[in-house]
Amino acid sequence: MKLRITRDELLTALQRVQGVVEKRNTMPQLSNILLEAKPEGVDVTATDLEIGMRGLYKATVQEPGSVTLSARKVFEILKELPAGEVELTVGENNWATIRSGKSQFKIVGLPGSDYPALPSIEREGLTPLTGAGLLELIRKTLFAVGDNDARYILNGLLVTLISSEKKTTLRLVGTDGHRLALAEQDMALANGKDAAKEAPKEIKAIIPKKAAFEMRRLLEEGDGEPLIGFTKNLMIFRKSGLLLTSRLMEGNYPNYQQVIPKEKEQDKKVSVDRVELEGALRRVAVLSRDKTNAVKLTLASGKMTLFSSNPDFGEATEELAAQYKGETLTTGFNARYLLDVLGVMDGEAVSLQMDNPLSPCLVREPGNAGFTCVVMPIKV
Amino acid sequence: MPFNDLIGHERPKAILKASILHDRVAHAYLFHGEDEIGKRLAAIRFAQAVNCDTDYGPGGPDACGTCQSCCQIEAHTHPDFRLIEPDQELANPQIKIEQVRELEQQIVYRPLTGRRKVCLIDDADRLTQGAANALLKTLEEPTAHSLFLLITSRPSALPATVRSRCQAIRFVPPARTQVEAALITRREMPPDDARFLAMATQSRIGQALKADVPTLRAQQDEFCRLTAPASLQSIATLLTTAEALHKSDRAPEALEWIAQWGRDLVLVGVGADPDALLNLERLADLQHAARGPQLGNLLDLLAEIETIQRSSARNLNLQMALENILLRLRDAVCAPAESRLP
Repeated sequence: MKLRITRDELLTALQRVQGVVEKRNTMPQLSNILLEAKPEGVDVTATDLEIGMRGLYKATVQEPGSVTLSARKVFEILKELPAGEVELTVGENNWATIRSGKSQFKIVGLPGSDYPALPSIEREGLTPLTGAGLLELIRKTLFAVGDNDARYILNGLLVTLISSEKKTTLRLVGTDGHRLALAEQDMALANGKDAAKEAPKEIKAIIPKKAAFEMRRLLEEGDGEPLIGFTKNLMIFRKSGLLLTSRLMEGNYPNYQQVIPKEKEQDKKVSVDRVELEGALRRVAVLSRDKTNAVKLTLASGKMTLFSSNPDFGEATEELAAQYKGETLTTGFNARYLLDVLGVMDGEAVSLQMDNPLSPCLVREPGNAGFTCVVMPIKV
Repeated sequence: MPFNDLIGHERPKAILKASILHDRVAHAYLFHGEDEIGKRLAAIRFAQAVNCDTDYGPGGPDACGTCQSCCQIEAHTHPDFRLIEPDQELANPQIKIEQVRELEQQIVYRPLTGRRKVCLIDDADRLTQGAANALLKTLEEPTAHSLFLLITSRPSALPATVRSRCQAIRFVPPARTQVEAALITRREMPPDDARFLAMATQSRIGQALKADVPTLRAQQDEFCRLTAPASLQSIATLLTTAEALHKSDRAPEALEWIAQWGRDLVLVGVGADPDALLNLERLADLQHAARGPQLGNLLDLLAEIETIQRSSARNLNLQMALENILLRLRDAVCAPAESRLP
């Protein structure tokens, strides 16, 4: 295998896959990237068996072939090289040579055939989405996804794609058992006549957190609208020549609809300015108990009072103007959970609704029906 | 066909093939039976057969051994195939709870390319208690498309809770003739050597395929000299030999050879077919030695050796055990001569 490629092109490719490459090193090939030289360019693939990423990059291929090389080392080499053309040749026993100007690197490689193959993907059947919309949905739900929870299914993000004749709706749900975030949005019309004929269908899948994270990273690069699709075992995400595949998680996602309280039952409703509440929470949380971040929240006619105390340091209190009518209600929250929600909201105001001091609290943005968050209160 | 690579084990093969054919593959199997008789190979072949890309022929479900999936499982690079085994570099090889936890994180995903995610746990009796307990939940309620294959030569060392969650399949050593045939075809051995190897390894095919004949012959000579009636006479020699053997960590191997010798003595004593003897070349010696001892004593001695071999992993003083066995062998073989003394 022999090819010439500009350093910047290859560096972009490597930067994109760094997050995918396996760090735990269970299989030696997985800390490598797969380079496949084809007449039309070079395919760069990385996978940790959970998610995989592949992209085609422009290169002058003199001799096709494939090899896998350490992702980290090649990345470090390229970072230090000056801009310009890089020549990559693979010789006997998969020794790869990288030449640029007067520098030369010889790197141990493994045969490309040993690399776990990404499943072949057809281009058909992918649903086009708006990049900005998907990015917003991921941003609004990813924070609530569990981290290393023993209930493995909570470490995933539930993706529901409802496509009907008229529109495509995408709903994402994340929860870790203490808070839940649900965001949905109507995506652009499915362009194409075939889609219109199909009966409305609903696809439900649970994707690992890492996949959502990588999708967000790719979407943040901008340019190009993404396509998304699901096969039996995989989620496929395609954007401007890049292909991201992720294995789906097996199991039943908790019935999240049951957790979201009905609006009618929640008669204690308060509206406050989002930025003000966020600031106040941050300030008051400084003196909260370390582990729980407990902040006491008291609602009274026209105002909201935040209070926290820590026996070792002292206490803090702050009062905010709020639209609230009804009897006084005192409850407590983990400030971190509320701040996470407020952090992903965009509107000016935020509404909190609950029934009694220990019932789940519904957090919503007036004017954005697509986003719902539930935060469980704590006893203080 | 790759299932045929497996020598012997007709019954397990039939069970496994039938389970694929009728689409009734259990979620977890426990392959148990002696060491080095092909359990692991059977598990790998089964994993290949379950995930093979090629349609099977009239011979029933099997792995083709040539498709990408089969090759990757063979090379342990298949994305849906995981192998967990104890770290052999440790003084006390164990399967740690971290290995099980990592497995559990992987098992929640759907299979990537195959039909089933196969998890092979070799030497499953080496699971630490914590690791075994951590595995229970997954074994009991596995996610769909998962297949656990546990392998052990000491099934009773596994917690009953793990055992009861698996379908047990017993593996017995293949017949001697099968092992001989395999040795002749695969290692291109003369039939004499093949017979010797099959006997010396007690039909443990894995061992027989790897063992070096000259080394084994040398060992046989050495231990036959030790157990010859003449050298059994001197207690001092026996004790120094036992000490030397223990110091060079060869006590287990000495016990093995002594047991084989004892077994031959019993066979000669009851007048069995000489074809069943390991030390056939020393038939005259055997006949001479077999004249003295009582059959009951020899059988007791063999039982004792077996007990020692089983407990050798548990802080047993092997030197003392070996001395004990040699002295008892001496008593058994030489006793009548001594009893005639006043």
